[in-house]
Amino acid sequence: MKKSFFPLLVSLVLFSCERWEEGIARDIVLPPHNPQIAASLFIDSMDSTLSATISKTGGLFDTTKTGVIQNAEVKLYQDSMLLHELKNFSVDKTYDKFLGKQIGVVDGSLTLEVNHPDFETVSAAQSFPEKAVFTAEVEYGGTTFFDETSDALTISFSDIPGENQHYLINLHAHYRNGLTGQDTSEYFPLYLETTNQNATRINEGGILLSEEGVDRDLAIRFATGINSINYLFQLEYRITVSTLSDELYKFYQSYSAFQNAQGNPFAEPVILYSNMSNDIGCFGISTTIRKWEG
Amino acid sequence: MKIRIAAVLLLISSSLWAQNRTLSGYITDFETGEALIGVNIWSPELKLGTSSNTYGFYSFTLPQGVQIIRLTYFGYESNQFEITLDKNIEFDFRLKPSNNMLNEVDVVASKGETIQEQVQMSKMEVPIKQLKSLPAILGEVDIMKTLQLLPGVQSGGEGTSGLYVRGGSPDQNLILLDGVPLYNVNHLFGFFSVFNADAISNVSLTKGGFPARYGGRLSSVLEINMKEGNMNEFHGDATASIISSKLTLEGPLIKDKASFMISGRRTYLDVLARPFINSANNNNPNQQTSPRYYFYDTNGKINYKIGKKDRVYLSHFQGQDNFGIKDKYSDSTRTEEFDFGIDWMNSITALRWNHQWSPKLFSNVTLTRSLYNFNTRAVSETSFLPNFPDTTGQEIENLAALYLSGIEDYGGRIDFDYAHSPLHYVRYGAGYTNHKFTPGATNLKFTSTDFNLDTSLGSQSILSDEFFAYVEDEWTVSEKFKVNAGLHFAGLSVQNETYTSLQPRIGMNYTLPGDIALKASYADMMQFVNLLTNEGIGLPTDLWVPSTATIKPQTSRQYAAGLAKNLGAFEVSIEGYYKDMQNLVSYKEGANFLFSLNEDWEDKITQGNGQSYGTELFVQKKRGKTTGWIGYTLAWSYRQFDEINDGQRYFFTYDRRHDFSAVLTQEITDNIQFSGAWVYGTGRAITLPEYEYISSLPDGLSWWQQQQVLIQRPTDKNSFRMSAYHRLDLSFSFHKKRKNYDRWWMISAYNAYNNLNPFFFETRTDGNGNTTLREYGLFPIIPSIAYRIKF
Repeated sequence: MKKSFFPLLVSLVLFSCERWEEGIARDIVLPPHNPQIAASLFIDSMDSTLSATISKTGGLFDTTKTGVIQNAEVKLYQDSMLLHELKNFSVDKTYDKFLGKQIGVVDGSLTLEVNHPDFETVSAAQSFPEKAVFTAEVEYGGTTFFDETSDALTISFSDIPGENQHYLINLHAHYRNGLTGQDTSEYFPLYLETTNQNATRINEGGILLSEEGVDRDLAIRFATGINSINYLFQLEYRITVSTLSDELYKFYQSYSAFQNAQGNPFAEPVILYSNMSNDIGCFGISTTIRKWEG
Repeated sequence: MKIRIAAVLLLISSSLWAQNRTLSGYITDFETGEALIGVNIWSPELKLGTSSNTYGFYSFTLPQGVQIIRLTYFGYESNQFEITLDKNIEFDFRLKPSNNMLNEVDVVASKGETIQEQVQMSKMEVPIKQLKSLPAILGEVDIMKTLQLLPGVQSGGEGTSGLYVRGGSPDQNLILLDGVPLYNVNHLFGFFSVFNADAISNVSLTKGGFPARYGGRLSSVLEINMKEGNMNEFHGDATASIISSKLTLEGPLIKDKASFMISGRRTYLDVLARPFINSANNNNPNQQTSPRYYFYDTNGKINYKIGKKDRVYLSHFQGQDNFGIKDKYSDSTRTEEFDFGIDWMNSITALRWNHQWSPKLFSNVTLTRSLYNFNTRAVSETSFLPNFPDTTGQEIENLAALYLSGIEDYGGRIDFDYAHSPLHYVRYGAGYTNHKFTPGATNLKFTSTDFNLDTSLGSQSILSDEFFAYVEDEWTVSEKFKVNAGLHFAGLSVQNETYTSLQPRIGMNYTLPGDIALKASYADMMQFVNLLTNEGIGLPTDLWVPSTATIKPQTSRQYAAGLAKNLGAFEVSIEGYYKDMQNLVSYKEGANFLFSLNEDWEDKITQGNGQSYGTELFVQKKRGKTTGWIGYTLAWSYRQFDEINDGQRYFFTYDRRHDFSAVLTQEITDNIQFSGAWVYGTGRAITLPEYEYISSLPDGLSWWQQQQVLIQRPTDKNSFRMSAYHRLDLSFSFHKKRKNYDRWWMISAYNAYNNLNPFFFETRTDGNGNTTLREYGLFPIIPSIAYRIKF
């Protein structure tokens, strides 16, 4: 037994020394990535142009590179009937279709289908959600915003039983000329301040509000950041409420988390939501309604 | 109807043993007088047995008359004797340690201590004598690293000493040091655990089939007992290694009545590195940089026999890690000092009182305090001297940021052991703990000539009250069939919400032909504390948070079944398990504990479910010149959270398909011992971006009206596997007996064949735009030498 230990130890030392040369790092060779179609199309009822981005996936650790692909067939079906084909490949490298008017709320199920000879066909289906039913009330000088007096805006949504409602709320200040009373046609986006626990702020200042799967009437109160008393007869608020499909709401949430986690080694990883058949990209629909108050 | 049948059976069994007498007392080490835990007391004729409890107390009721009693315990000479039980007898046994483990071979065939006789399944006892014979790395035999070598128990990977038991997470392990929960077991970022083997007398790990006396965690109970101290003589044990030293002293305070044990350990990396740091700093007198790291821990215990029936114990443990870097720059215009540090500290205290009410009834009362703090601080001070531009006189700016988290418990419990008859061993008790959680608060201070700020951000402390009661009966139904059945009631009161749970527990052992034990168990568990762990990094930045009015307690159901058999000197067992877990806690996607300090931690987490199942094989040889074990686990572990991975089930990051370990200890000569341990495990499952694509965005999501963005994406959550983990540790021990002391030289190698076990990844892009994935190891081969003396 004793005799066998020492040759064993010597071999081990030699083996360890050989490994020492490799250092404490090594490159991992991953299997080559198989490129797929990544399709993204977001439609709102107020859109008069449909615009889709169709790219191919590229491996991060091999020579396949991502990029927008041409010669794809991008079709939108309404209950299996072709509704639109997005043929125009724009300078922005998107597939567009100019409608000439707002698309409005299209009945039935819409299916996005993308074909390309080099890739497997991908698709996803969506329906326009119901328009939001809400009332809005402005309390002039009713709250504070960063210690300054501010208007408070309360929006109350009526529940649609059985529907999981998700809203994207944007608020703009619309000014009239103080002397002439004429419309300036200028809309300034407002940064909304709320303490509502169900609300999530997204990049451009909009607020996401969701029933989170529980049927109920929702209400949210904001500080608008403006004290209208200073702008008597000159200002009105434009309230834009988009009702998001379940899938689009998940994409909003997911992308917000994805963006917040970028470059932060302490953040939990985020896998961007997809409802496409190959689990890459997203097809989402929203229905928008606007109201003016003030 | 079922209750009636049980009552009748209990009555019959009681009447059958009406002419019984009870043999009771304490079992201690002959040399040290310390209590021996888990000594098997066996009647070969009646084929009945019991074992000593945590305090060395035993109670064995037998029919009146002459009885043969056999005592067996690992590492001790076996004893067999005849006793005339014509009355209740109190008798204290003192077992002699066995220097030659071969002496015990003659009792291997006897029943009572064999694996197939124990009702309790999924329990691993690691005698400290066996543990100390395993590879000592840097002079330390690490208890947690040894437990990671057992089947069903996994390590988190390189640089972690947490336990992942049967697909559970580290917070699901109840780690009790002298009965007090310990919340952080890591030193040196996980390379060492806080347990100093010289101060420990016993280690046992229960992975499933939990008897009713255990509760509060889902996955395991790790019980570690400190040494009581030698009742007869003064002794010491000292070890010096290249990075740390430790010293243990023990002895009688009053001979045969009171003893003490005190042990301390400290690293001196900071002291050893100082000359090198000073030399480096001399090159640039304006810039002085001083990194620092050290840890220390102390264990102390006093026990006192008040009389024949009463005994009190006072035990204390404290450990601290301190890591940081200090940077100082000075020139003729200003002085800048920056100090960054992370430190974490554990402290526990236990006061226990044993009382023997009768030969059959024994009680223990425990009062406990447990404290864990984790602090991060960054302090910067800039002094602008008068010749600094635009400065009229000396001006000082001071900025300090302190991040605090922690948990403090005060608790008490009472436990009773009632040896009703040889057929029934009943345990019952109750307890209460008050928790104070500080899940993470930040203190910001800024002072300058014209501005002052002192503010606190983050979570406030949360108080909660946890309580429990239990009753269990270990029932010998027949010679072939034994049952341990019980109920555990647990509750938590927090934020005006009360959670309660009644948890049935049952374990069974049926002896099949060929002396093969068929075991099965079922356990319901509930857990009121959670550890928020960032999957990306493994720092003690993990936060302990309680169940609250909105965060529901974690629960689990575990089913297990297996076979066990003694084959000569070998114990062989195979077990299968299925564990279903609810209300597990995880950070939401994108959440982190930093950079959003003003958010409520409850907004950052989500709850979901988990499942794990697997099979464990364990073959162990405890006696002879060659000892050791082989363990293999084939397992699956999943998680499912509605808000993670779009609600789809995914692999738990520590899902490990194959886990294999082999441990060998060989006595080469009487004075030279060799030991080795090899471990292999499937790589950790992590989320790694593997491809990218271009996407458009809906309104409101992009910054600066950006229409298209580049998205990097993994195939799926935890779909990428790190390289497999494998490591060989070797150790030689050379012993010599001197006139007044024993000494050992210990030479060892951690990761002996220098395998690169991945710790983290990095992506690198070369000049041609090609990106490669590179993994980095943490510990290469680490040879070490240590010197130990025992006197």
